[in-house]
Amino acid sequence: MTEHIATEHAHSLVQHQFEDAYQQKEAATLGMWAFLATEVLFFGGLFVAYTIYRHQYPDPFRQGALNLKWYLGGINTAVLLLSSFTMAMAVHAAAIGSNAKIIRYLVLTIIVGGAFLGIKATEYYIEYREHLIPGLNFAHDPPSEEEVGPFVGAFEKVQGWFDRVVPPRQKEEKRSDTEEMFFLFYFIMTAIHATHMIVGIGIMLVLIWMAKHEMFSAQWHNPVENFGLYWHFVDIVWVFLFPTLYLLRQP
Amino acid sequence: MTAIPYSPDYAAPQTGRTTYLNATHTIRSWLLTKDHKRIGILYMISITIFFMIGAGGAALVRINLLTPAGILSEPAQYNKAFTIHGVMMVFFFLVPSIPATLGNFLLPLMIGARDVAFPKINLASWYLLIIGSSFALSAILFGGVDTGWTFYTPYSSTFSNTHVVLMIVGIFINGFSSILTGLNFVVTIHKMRAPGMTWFRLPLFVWAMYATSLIFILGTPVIAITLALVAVERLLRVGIFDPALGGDPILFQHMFWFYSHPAVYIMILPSFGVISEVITCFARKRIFGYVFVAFSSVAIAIIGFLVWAHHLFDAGISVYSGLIFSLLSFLVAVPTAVKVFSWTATLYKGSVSLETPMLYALGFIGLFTIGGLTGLMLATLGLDVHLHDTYFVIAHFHYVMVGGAIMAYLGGIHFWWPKMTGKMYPEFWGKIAAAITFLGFNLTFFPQFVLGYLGMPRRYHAYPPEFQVYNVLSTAGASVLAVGYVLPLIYLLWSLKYGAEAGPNPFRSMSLEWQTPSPPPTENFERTPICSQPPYAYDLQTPMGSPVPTAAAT
Amino acid sequence: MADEHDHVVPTQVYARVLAVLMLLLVVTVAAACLDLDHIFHAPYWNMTVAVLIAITKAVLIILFFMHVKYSSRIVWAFASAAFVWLGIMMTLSLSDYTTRNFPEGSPTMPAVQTGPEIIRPAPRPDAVVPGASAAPLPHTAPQRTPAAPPA
Repeated sequence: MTEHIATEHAHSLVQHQFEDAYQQKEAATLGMWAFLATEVLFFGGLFVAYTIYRHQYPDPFRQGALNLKWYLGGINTAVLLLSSFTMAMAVHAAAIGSNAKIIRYLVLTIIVGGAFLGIKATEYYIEYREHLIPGLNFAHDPPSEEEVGPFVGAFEKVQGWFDRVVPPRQKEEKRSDTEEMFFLFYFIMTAIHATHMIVGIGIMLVLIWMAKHEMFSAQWHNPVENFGLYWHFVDIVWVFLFPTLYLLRQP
Repeated sequence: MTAIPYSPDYAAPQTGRTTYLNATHTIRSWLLTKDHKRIGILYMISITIFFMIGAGGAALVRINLLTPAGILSEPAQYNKAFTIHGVMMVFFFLVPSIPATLGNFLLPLMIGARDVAFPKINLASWYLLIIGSSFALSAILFGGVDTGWTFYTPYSSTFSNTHVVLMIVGIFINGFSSILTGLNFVVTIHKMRAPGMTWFRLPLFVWAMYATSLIFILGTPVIAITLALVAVERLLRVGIFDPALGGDPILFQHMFWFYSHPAVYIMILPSFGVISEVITCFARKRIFGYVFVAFSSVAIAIIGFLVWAHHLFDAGISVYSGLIFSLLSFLVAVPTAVKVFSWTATLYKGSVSLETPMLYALGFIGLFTIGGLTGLMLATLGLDVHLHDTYFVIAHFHYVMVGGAIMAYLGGIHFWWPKMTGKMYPEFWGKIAAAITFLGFNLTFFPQFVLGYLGMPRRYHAYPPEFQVYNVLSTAGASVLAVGYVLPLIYLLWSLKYGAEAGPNPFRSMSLEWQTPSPPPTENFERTPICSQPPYAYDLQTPMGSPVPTAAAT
Repeated sequence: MADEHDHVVPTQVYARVLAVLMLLLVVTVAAACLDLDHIFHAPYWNMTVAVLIAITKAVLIILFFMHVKYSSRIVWAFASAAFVWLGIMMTLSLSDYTTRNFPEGSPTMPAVQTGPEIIRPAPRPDAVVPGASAAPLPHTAPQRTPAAPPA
């Protein structure tokens, strides 16, 4: 009985230009992939520019990376992978037609995604206190321990433990101009990535609203599926960003 | 689902018939329309306005170049004039021209669909064009930009004192208009074809739209991020492309041209599609080598992405890289030549009639071939060292863009004018305008080949006196060309009220969009057509969408 | 008609993929801690390994989380085309930068700079220094002195 109503509801959701729901779903999926292709090229442009500069200035870029708290980046990668998993579970819930489960997993994804943004914000704060933001306060001399304060100092200490276990090659004290270039790319790439995540969280709120009104069913759940594609893509971007930006300990 | 019966005498009474034009009358219904045909018309009006602004910039340039010392009071004004001309013509006229006007209007009709895959996104594309152009126009009104349409760094990022960021925002937003159009078209062509409309029954115009949409999707994001980086550099005073901070201006050029070279294929591929349609209809013959022409469109789109650094031959890239790109640039000429051979072979022993669209198409073949061959000259690394940044380059790209793309656009507008409006354009004035355009164009741009080869650099407001005669010829030609462009504007608008009524298929084309009334009803076809005929079946006299082949008629 | 194409992926698949992804994350970090270039006596090893592991992770996410493994060939084509194009941009751009060989001992810009300070090209002895009008306008001059630390 519910299936019949769901089918009816699904059919009334077929837009006039389509013949049936299957054509609409395929078209929506293809459209989403075409959009993701544009995003690949968008972020890809930044990766190409970064790769070229890294090829030209390998040492200053490595020096710049040593200033990043790579363990925070690593934790963030794990967090984002987890959010990808919860998102896949939400899509699964949509495929079996359970609006309640959709809401549950979308809320989980928002929480985990929010955790990522929180850690990212912490990193940005650390970089701000350490005078690493180009155009704002990038300083060629690193600030002293008293200047950065105890909060940042704690993260420095943790970084120091890792450095003692696996020492990086040759860390310089003074920062060069090209390190500023590295940080420019770091901030631009992570900021654009974070913006994509914030937009994603916004869309998830809309999807939760739709699921609360029982709008999804096993026959029609295109928005959830296509948003899942977007969220996984944002995860993939980070999977490439992490080793590219953070893990330059050795050349 | 039965097919539309084909009857050459079918002429529906014009009064009382609901078409997409008179279905609703309010401005609101036009501005909130989801009908791809109305969106095509909205685009047509918008880009005509942008064309006129770009033409204004061209007029300033050509008037200034009448005398060796330049007529405009300051060189900076000249820089702004050619920048306005370039930005408006490239980003706001040529890139959207055929895809967004004719493509939007015709694509669903040609494949037998009711609309594109995402009609609301289609409307959003148009609004993005309007918003983007508002930013660009305000940049012009607030004093213009003097960097050239190529925005080379570090001038645009560090030294220029004009409204670069405002212009960049406009182009960035416009880029998303392109991306959404391309996305829409690709999904539409994959998923919305009528029953029986296989890939190899598609009109070549649809293949051209498909190839163009590939470039829209894969190329446009790169210029978006490139210009965004320039904007960041200007706003935050940091040095991404600034050599003083270790940045590389050549990196900007690499990233800029990674889009902007495929962009020129965006501008020309749809023209190829128009020409294929016009040539087959007015030679009453099947296209020669359909599969070759279809695949050549996709090949041009793909290879076009591999050649961008031929714009950087003189910029300081490595010689080895230059060699690779020179070779690849030669390669892209091959599928292009395939098309030209194919059209020529189609004309051979065809029953050619010289209506206005055919005149534009024949002009296209000649002028585009000249433009394309000079492109090969520029692709030759050794020659390009001498010719780069001279008027030779300007003449080359105007031959392909104006002698090619714009003539194809005008030919297409004339060809499908009866379908779009239900009225015929005046044939006499059409032929006059085509002839004036052809003559004016050659007078404007052929002297520029000579100028370039003699060494006159581009983007210079003043020049040595020995170049004056060619510049004067060029400016004179420009005024003739302007007449050739104003004439259609006048008589096409005139025809809306006073033109002869057009039946559904005044040119007796076999293509599917002509098997529905002119102008079409909002849902395009009364019943979904079934396609069982080969394309361009002029020998069989079986139009696309007809189930029973009629006997061979006149 | 709709149901025969709906494939609901079992959740155990997702859980297993997540486990593999986390494992690969650990491998990435571990590999970055070793100086592979020194071990293998060849350049670019660290970067290659890191990128390869990242590609593996991305492929897993694409195939399973994004359902491409269970999707039509067109979806495969769209997904791969995007990365192929990125590859084109990366490869051909690098073909320029990696082949810029300058003559030995040239005083001009080396193709790769390893020191912390940027080496700029020396001005030509006969170069005409442009006048003041060519200097950048004051408000656009990039700051070259380090900023004072905030109070």
